Amino acid sequence: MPNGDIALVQRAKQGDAEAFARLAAKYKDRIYNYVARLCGDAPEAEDLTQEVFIRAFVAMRRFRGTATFQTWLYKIATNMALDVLRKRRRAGPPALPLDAPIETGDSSVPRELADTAPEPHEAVARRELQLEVQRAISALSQKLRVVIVLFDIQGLSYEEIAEVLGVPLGTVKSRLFNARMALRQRLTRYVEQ
Amino acid sequence: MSCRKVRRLLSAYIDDACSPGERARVDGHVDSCNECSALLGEMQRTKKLVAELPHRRTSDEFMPALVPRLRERQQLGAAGVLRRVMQWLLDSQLRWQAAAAGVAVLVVAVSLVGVLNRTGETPTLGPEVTATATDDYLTTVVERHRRFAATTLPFDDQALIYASYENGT
Repeated sequence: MPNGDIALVQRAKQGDAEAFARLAAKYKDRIYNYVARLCGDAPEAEDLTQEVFIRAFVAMRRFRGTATFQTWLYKIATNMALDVLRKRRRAGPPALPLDAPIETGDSSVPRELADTAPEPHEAVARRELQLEVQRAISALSQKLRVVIVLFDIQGLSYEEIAEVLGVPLGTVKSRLFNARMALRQRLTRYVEQ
Repeated sequence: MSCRKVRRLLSAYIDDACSPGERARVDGHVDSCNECSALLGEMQRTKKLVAELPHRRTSDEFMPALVPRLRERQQLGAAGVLRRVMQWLLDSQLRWQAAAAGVAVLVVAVSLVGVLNRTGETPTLGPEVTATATDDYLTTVVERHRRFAATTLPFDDQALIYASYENGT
């Protein structure tokens, strides 16, 4: 565990909210980015990130220190994000997609987003590509999605991922392979030469 | 090494997670296999696309919203500890009371058993009448009545009473 975390973790285990807040400030962006990429929804991700830290604070007494604090946080975040995804799957698709046309009596007009200043073409193309990549990640099964986000986006090692998920190293390797093959299939026009 | 085996290693290969032997085998294979070489390139570009996604950050409101909630939990936690200590003390007191009651019941039970287990003894009537339930006892009782009657009853009545004692009526 990083030296700076040890003292804060010890105080947080005693229920010290200020110490835990300092840990949260250090890891909030990492966890937020992780759950946002897993759930594919930025606004909901911030609420979920709050809940991850609240749950972690409540459970601090049970943190034994056998894993790093970061790994432990990722475990909690993974479980909570997957819960959200399962509930979302049970609830079905959203009632109204963002780009559905608006009905106006006997005709309809296309739904438009708020007007923004014109962007350079490259910036638009880059944003479209990023949306496409996120859609491809969101189309993966939960097991494959988790490993690809943890490794390629969050930068965890194979060993850390195995610890977060509680699976063998071979399983992590196998899931990463399957995730990349599936993503490659969806992003063919961007990766083929 | 076959294409199938090499392909299974490509993901670990691009992550630098192959053993030196595996890396050498993949290198040797892709040098001579266009399909596996193309697949390796596609996987590398796929990984790069994912890794280059922008890293999102929380809003400025995140910590101002989180900290009060943590403090609230801290207070709930302290109150919870106090409640658990009080409950333990109460439980302890109840346990002590139950233990004391149990000891008292045990003492009473032992005493009763001790009393009920006394054998070969009749209730004590007084030093002048203590005797076993034999003829000696009856003789003593009769003698006492004789002495009493002699002092209180007319002579004829005394005779009747003594006759009833002699006859067992």
